[in-house]
Amino acid sequence: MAGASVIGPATVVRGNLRGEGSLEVLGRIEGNVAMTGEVLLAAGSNVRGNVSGSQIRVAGEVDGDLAGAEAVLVEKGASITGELVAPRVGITPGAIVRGAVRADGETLELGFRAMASAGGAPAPEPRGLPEPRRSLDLGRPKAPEGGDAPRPALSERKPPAPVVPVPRKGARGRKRPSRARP
Amino acid sequence: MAGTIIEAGLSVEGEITSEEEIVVHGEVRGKLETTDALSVGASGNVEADVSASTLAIAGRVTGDVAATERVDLQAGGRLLGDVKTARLTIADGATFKGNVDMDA
Repeated sequence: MAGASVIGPATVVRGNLRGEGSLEVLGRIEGNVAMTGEVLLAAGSNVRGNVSGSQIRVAGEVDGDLAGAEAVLVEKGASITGELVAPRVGITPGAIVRGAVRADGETLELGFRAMASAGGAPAPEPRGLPEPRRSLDLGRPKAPEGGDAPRPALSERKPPAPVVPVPRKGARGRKRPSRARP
Repeated sequence: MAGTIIEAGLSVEGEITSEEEIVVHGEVRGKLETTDALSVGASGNVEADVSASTLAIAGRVTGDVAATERVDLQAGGRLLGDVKTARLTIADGATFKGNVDMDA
């Protein structure tokens, strides 16, 4: 049932492709591709969109992210603008890649599932933003620590504070018995 | 070799424009255009307006169909939509609902 589909060299697809089995692209796709099997983007192919599959081999042009459950292999002549995510990422001499490369199993699964479940047209994620923010947050707590040093002076002022509550307690105690008499 | 093959299990949502032969065993929704031949296999399901040079239907097609040369609706094939073509054959055992325009 799950055979090898082919998008021929003289074919343009504007829309999303999703399904089981493997896919070979010789032509042009403007949309997202989510396959359970192998995806081959042959020399001369052009894909504008995100691609996910078990193994993705690229020898064509891609403007989008590639998420392979097993591997992403970039071959000679390929030109990719986007993120490569897979447990195994291979880039051959003669290939052009502009974008982040993550050869990491855990992040891959998250990305792969998100793409597969979204199905429609997931907006291109802002690349690289989350990581810089984290490093900024980590940096902030360190600076205040040095500034805290002079504060112990406040503890010296504390003793006067308890003086105020003492008379109040006494005042309440006097009023209660007066109510109980009638 | 057929230029483009949409196998069973693959579903395409959108527009396919082509200048080569297309074979559909899977699913296509949207629009399907080729200047060459198009055949929809028994497991194929096309919900789209279709245009081709020749069109052979053994699966399901829902949408208006135009072929410059001919349309063959084969046994087991199911076509819901209008047909515009010079030659049309409908095999025994095919299902068809729609208008036919064979005006050359």
